Amino acid sequence: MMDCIRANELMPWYANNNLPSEEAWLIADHLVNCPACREELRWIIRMAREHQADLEQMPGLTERTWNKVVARTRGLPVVQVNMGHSLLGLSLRVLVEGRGIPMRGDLFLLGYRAPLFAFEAV
Amino acid sequence: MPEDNFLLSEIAKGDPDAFSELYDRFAERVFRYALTLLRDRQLAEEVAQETMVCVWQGAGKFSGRSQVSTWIFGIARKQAHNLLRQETKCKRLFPEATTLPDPADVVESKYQVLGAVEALPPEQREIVFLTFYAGLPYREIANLLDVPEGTVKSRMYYAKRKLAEMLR
Ligand SMILES: [Zn+2]
Repeated sequence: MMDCIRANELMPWYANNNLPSEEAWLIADHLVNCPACREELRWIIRMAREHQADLEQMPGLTERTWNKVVARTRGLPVVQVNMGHSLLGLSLRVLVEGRGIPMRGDLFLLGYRAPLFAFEAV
Repeated sequence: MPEDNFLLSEIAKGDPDAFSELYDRFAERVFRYALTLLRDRQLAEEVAQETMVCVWQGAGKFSGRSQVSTWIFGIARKQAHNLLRQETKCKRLFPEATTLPDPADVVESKYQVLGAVEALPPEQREIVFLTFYAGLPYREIANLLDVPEGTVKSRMYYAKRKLAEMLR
Protein backbone atom coordinates (compact mmCIF):
# COMPACT_ATOMS: atom_id res chain seq x y z
CA MET A 1 0.00 0.00 0.00
CA MET A 2 1.16 3.48 -0.73
CA ASP A 3 0.53 6.33 1.69
CA CYS A 4 0.23 10.05 0.91
CA ILE A 5 3.81 10.82 1.93
CA ARG A 6 5.31 8.27 -0.41
CA ALA A 7 2.86 9.17 -3.19
CA ASN A 8 3.80 12.83 -2.80
CA GLU A 9 7.47 12.02 -3.03
CA LEU A 10 7.07 10.21 -6.35
CA MET A 11 4.36 12.44 -7.81
CA PRO A 12 6.62 14.68 -9.96
CA TRP A 13 7.84 11.64 -11.87
CA TYR A 14 4.36 10.17 -12.04
CA ALA A 15 3.23 13.48 -13.58
CA ASN A 16 6.04 13.12 -16.14
CA ASN A 17 5.18 9.55 -16.96
CA ASN A 18 8.68 8.64 -15.81
CA LEU A 19 8.14 6.11 -13.03
CA PRO A 20 8.89 2.40 -13.21
CA SER A 21 5.56 0.75 -13.96
CA GLU A 22 5.19 -1.00 -10.59
CA GLU A 23 5.46 2.37 -8.77
CA ALA A 24 3.17 4.05 -11.29
CA TRP A 25 0.49 1.40 -10.62
CA LEU A 26 0.75 1.88 -6.88
CA ILE A 27 0.27 5.63 -7.26
CA ALA A 28 -2.61 5.20 -9.68
CA ASP A 29 -4.28 2.94 -7.11
CA HIS A 30 -3.72 5.47 -4.36
CA LEU A 31 -5.08 8.35 -6.47
CA VAL A 32 -8.41 6.63 -6.95
CA ASN A 33 -9.19 7.03 -3.26
CA CYS A 34 -7.27 10.19 -2.35
CA PRO A 35 -8.62 13.58 -3.47
CA ALA A 36 -5.73 15.44 -1.78
CA CYS A 37 -3.15 13.62 -3.88
CA ARG A 38 -5.23 14.09 -7.01
CA GLU A 39 -5.17 17.83 -6.31
CA GLU A 40 -1.40 17.66 -5.74
CA LEU A 41 -0.98 15.91 -9.09
CA ARG A 42 -3.03 18.56 -10.91
CA TRP A 43 -0.91 21.28 -9.36
CA ILE A 44 2.38 19.61 -10.29
CA ILE A 45 1.30 19.11 -13.89
CA ARG A 46 0.27 22.75 -14.17
CA MET A 47 3.50 23.96 -12.60
CA ALA A 48 5.68 21.71 -14.77
CA ARG A 49 3.97 22.99 -17.92
CA GLU A 50 4.39 26.60 -16.90
CA HIS A 51 8.03 26.06 -15.96
CA GLN A 52 8.69 24.58 -19.39
CA ALA A 53 6.78 27.35 -21.17
CA ASP A 54 8.64 30.03 -19.18
CA LEU A 55 12.02 28.50 -19.98
CA GLU A 56 11.19 28.21 -23.65
CA GLN A 57 10.36 31.89 -23.83
CA MET A 58 13.82 32.87 -22.63
CA PRO A 59 16.24 33.54 -25.51
CA GLY A 60 18.03 30.34 -26.52
CA LEU A 61 21.30 29.39 -28.15
CA THR A 62 22.47 31.34 -31.16
CA GLU A 63 23.65 30.01 -34.51
CA ARG A 64 27.14 31.15 -33.51
CA THR A 65 27.46 28.19 -31.13
CA TRP A 66 26.66 25.71 -33.88
CA ASN A 67 29.21 27.36 -36.16
CA LYS A 68 31.89 27.10 -33.50
CA VAL A 69 31.02 23.46 -32.81
CA VAL A 70 31.22 22.68 -36.54
CA ALA A 71 34.57 24.40 -36.87
CA ARG A 72 35.90 22.28 -34.01
CA THR A 73 34.50 18.98 -35.22
CA ARG A 74 36.22 18.68 -38.61
CA GLY A 75 34.05 21.15 -40.49
CA LEU A 76 31.36 18.58 -41.05
CA PRO A 77 30.17 18.33 -44.63
CA VAL A 78 26.44 17.97 -44.40
CA VAL A 79 25.20 19.11 -47.76
CA GLN A 80 27.15 18.19 -50.82
CA VAL A 81 26.89 20.11 -54.08
CA ASN A 82 28.29 18.49 -57.18
CA MET A 83 29.28 21.10 -59.71
CA GLY A 84 31.62 19.42 -62.15
CA HIS A 85 31.13 17.27 -65.19
CA SER A 86 32.64 13.97 -66.05
CA LEU A 87 34.75 15.07 -69.00
CA LEU A 88 38.14 13.43 -68.54
CA GLY A 89 37.09 12.53 -65.02
CA LEU A 90 37.26 16.16 -63.97
CA SER A 91 34.79 17.25 -61.37
CA LEU A 92 34.55 19.83 -58.67
CA ARG A 93 32.82 19.06 -55.44
CA VAL A 94 31.97 21.78 -53.01
CA LEU A 95 31.02 20.72 -49.54
CA VAL A 96 28.65 23.08 -47.90
CA GLU A 97 28.17 22.98 -44.19
CA GLY A 98 24.59 22.16 -43.24
CA ARG A 99 23.64 25.61 -42.03
CA GLY A 100 24.92 27.52 -45.00
CA ILE A 101 28.63 28.07 -44.47
CA PRO A 102 30.92 26.75 -47.19
CA MET A 103 33.69 24.71 -45.63
CA ARG A 104 35.82 23.22 -48.35
CA GLY A 105 36.02 22.19 -51.97
CA ASP A 106 37.71 19.30 -53.73
CA LEU A 107 38.85 18.98 -57.30
CA PHE A 108 38.62 15.46 -58.67
CA LEU A 109 40.93 14.68 -61.54
CA LEU A 110 40.74 11.20 -63.00
CA GLY A 111 39.55 9.89 -59.72
CA TYR A 112 42.28 11.60 -57.67
CA ARG A 113 41.25 14.17 -55.15
CA ALA A 114 43.06 17.47 -54.84
CA PRO A 115 41.89 19.73 -51.99
CA LEU A 116 41.08 23.13 -53.37
CA PHE A 117 40.33 25.28 -50.41
CA ALA A 118 39.44 24.95 -46.80
CA PHE A 119 38.52 27.46 -44.21
CA GLU A 120 36.95 27.51 -40.85
CA ALA A 121 33.72 29.20 -39.98
CA VAL A 122 33.72 30.80 -36.58
CA MET B 1 12.66 9.18 -35.83
CA PRO B 2 15.97 7.47 -34.97
CA GLU B 3 16.66 6.71 -31.30
CA ASP B 4 19.27 8.77 -29.47
CA ASN B 5 21.36 5.60 -29.00
CA PHE B 6 21.37 4.94 -32.72
CA LEU B 7 22.43 8.52 -33.48
CA LEU B 8 25.26 8.24 -31.00
CA SER B 9 26.55 5.03 -32.55
CA GLU B 10 26.47 6.72 -35.98
CA ILE B 11 28.36 9.71 -34.56
CA ALA B 12 30.98 7.31 -33.23
CA LYS B 13 31.51 6.24 -36.86
CA GLY B 14 31.92 9.89 -37.87
CA ASP B 15 28.48 10.55 -39.37
CA PRO B 16 27.95 14.34 -39.54
CA ASP B 17 24.21 14.09 -40.27
CA ALA B 18 23.66 12.10 -37.10
CA PHE B 19 25.62 14.72 -35.19
CA SER B 20 23.57 17.54 -36.65
CA GLU B 21 20.38 15.74 -35.59
CA LEU B 22 21.65 15.08 -32.08
CA TYR B 23 22.75 18.70 -31.78
CA ASP B 24 19.23 19.82 -32.66
CA ARG B 25 17.81 17.52 -30.00
CA PHE B 26 20.17 18.41 -27.17
CA ALA B 27 22.17 21.62 -27.57
CA GLU B 28 19.32 23.87 -26.49
CA ARG B 29 18.51 21.72 -23.44
CA VAL B 30 22.18 21.59 -22.48
CA PHE B 31 22.33 25.37 -22.78
CA ARG B 32 19.31 25.82 -20.51
CA TYR B 33 20.69 23.30 -18.04
CA ALA B 34 23.98 25.23 -17.91
CA LEU B 35 22.03 28.44 -17.52
CA THR B 36 20.20 26.90 -14.56
CA LEU B 37 23.53 25.95 -12.98
CA LEU B 38 25.59 29.04 -13.84
CA ARG B 39 23.09 31.86 -14.41
CA ASP B 40 25.35 33.37 -16.99
CA ARG B 41 24.45 33.32 -20.69
CA GLN B 42 27.96 33.54 -22.03
CA LEU B 43 29.25 30.75 -19.81
CA ALA B 44 26.20 28.63 -20.59
CA GLU B 45 26.91 29.02 -24.32
CA GLU B 46 30.47 27.94 -23.68
CA VAL B 47 29.25 24.87 -21.80
CA ALA B 48 26.89 23.99 -24.66
CA GLN B 49 29.72 24.31 -27.15
CA GLU B 50 32.22 22.26 -25.12
CA THR B 51 29.61 19.60 -24.37
CA MET B 52 28.63 19.07 -27.99
CA VAL B 53 32.28 18.90 -29.06
CA CYS B 54 32.83 16.27 -26.32
CA VAL B 55 29.81 14.34 -27.62
CA TRP B 56 31.34 14.27 -31.10
CA GLN B 57 34.73 13.20 -29.79
CA GLY B 58 33.52 10.78 -27.15
CA ALA B 59 30.47 9.15 -28.75
CA GLY B 60 32.34 5.86 -28.95
CA LYS B 61 32.82 5.85 -25.19
CA PHE B 62 29.11 5.84 -24.37
CA SER B 63 28.54 2.60 -22.48
CA GLY B 64 24.76 2.43 -22.75
CA ARG B 65 24.37 2.01 -19.00
CA SER B 66 22.32 5.21 -18.77
CA GLN B 67 20.05 7.12 -21.11
CA VAL B 68 21.85 9.18 -23.75
CA SER B 69 20.35 12.31 -22.22
CA THR B 70 21.81 11.48 -18.81
CA TRP B 71 25.22 10.94 -20.38
CA ILE B 72 25.08 14.28 -22.23
CA PHE B 73 23.81 16.20 -19.20
CA GLY B 74 26.60 14.56 -17.20
CA ILE B 75 29.19 15.98 -19.61
CA ALA B 76 27.52 19.39 -19.40
CA ARG B 77 27.55 19.27 -15.63
CA LYS B 78 31.26 18.52 -15.53
CA GLN B 79 31.95 21.33 -18.01
CA ALA B 80 29.85 23.75 -15.98
CA HIS B 81 31.65 22.85 -12.76
CA ASN B 82 35.07 23.21 -14.41
CA LEU B 83 34.11 26.62 -15.74
CA LEU B 84 32.72 27.66 -12.40
CA ARG B 85 35.99 26.70 -10.69
CA GLN B 86 38.02 28.70 -13.22
CA GLU B 87 35.70 31.65 -13.03
CA THR B 88 35.69 31.69 -9.26
CA LYS B 89 39.48 31.66 -9.33
CA CYS B 90 39.46 34.64 -11.66
CA LYS B 91 36.70 36.27 -9.61
CA ARG B 92 34.92 37.09 -12.84
CA LEU B 93 31.74 35.36 -11.87
CA PHE B 94 29.28 36.73 -9.41
CA PRO B 95 27.36 33.63 -8.32
CA GLU B 96 24.01 35.35 -8.22
CA ALA B 97 24.61 37.63 -11.21
CA THR B 98 22.14 36.54 -13.77
CA THR B 99 20.62 37.03 -17.16
CA LEU B 100 17.33 35.98 -15.70
CA PRO B 101 15.14 38.48 -13.95
CA ASP B 102 15.29 38.88 -10.20
CA PRO B 103 12.92 36.31 -8.62
CA ALA B 104 11.35 38.98 -6.45
CA ASP B 105 10.37 40.97 -9.53
CA VAL B 106 9.03 38.09 -11.55
CA VAL B 107 6.63 36.53 -9.12
CA GLU B 108 4.01 38.99 -10.32
CA SER B 109 5.08 38.86 -13.94
CA LYS B 110 4.51 36.32 -16.69
CA TYR B 111 7.49 34.18 -15.66
CA GLN B 112 5.89 33.32 -12.37
CA VAL B 113 6.97 29.70 -12.09
CA LEU B 114 10.46 30.28 -13.47
CA GLY B 115 10.91 33.14 -11.05
CA ALA B 116 9.92 30.93 -8.14
CA VAL B 117 12.26 28.13 -9.29
CA GLU B 118 15.04 30.69 -9.56
CA ALA B 119 14.56 31.52 -5.91
CA LEU B 120 15.27 27.91 -4.84
CA PRO B 121 18.68 26.81 -3.56
CA PRO B 122 20.89 25.64 -6.47
CA GLU B 123 20.65 21.90 -5.73
CA GLN B 124 16.84 22.05 -5.65
CA ARG B 125 16.73 24.23 -8.77
CA GLU B 126 18.80 21.62 -10.58
CA ILE B 127 16.46 18.76 -9.63
CA VAL B 128 13.42 20.74 -10.74
CA PHE B 129 15.08 21.42 -14.10
CA LEU B 130 16.14 17.83 -14.63
CA THR B 131 12.70 16.49 -13.70
CA PHE B 132 10.35 18.96 -15.33
CA TYR B 133 12.33 20.31 -18.26
CA ALA B 134 14.80 17.56 -19.12
CA GLY B 135 12.23 14.88 -18.24
CA LEU B 136 14.63 12.49 -16.52
CA PRO B 137 13.47 9.66 -14.20
CA TYR B 138 14.69 9.98 -10.61
CA ARG B 139 17.06 7.03 -11.07
CA GLU B 140 18.79 8.76 -13.96
CA ILE B 141 19.04 11.98 -11.96
CA ALA B 142 20.62 10.10 -9.04
CA ASN B 143 23.05 8.56 -11.49
CA LEU B 144 23.85 11.93 -13.06
CA LEU B 145 24.40 13.73 -9.76
CA ASP B 146 26.04 10.72 -8.16
CA VAL B 147 23.78 10.87 -5.10
CA PRO B 148 21.37 8.28 -3.62
CA GLU B 149 17.87 8.14 -5.10
CA GLY B 150 16.49 9.16 -1.70
CA THR B 151 18.44 12.42 -1.93
CA VAL B 152 16.88 13.22 -5.30
CA LYS B 153 13.40 12.57 -3.92
CA SER B 154 13.93 14.61 -0.77
CA ARG B 155 15.41 17.57 -2.68
CA MET B 156 12.38 17.51 -4.94
CA TYR B 157 10.08 17.20 -1.93
CA TYR B 158 11.51 20.36 -0.33
CA ALA B 159 11.60 22.18 -3.67
CA LYS B 160 7.93 21.40 -4.17
CA ARG B 161 7.07 22.63 -0.71
CA LYS B 162 8.84 25.95 -1.28
CA LEU B 163 7.28 26.36 -4.70
CA ALA B 164 3.87 25.76 -3.18
CA GLU B 165 4.50 28.48 -0.59
CA MET B 166 5.49 30.93 -3.32
CA LEU B 167 2.92 30.05 -5.95
CA ARG B 168 -0.18 28.63 -4.36
ZN1 LIG C 1 -2.87 10.66 -0.76
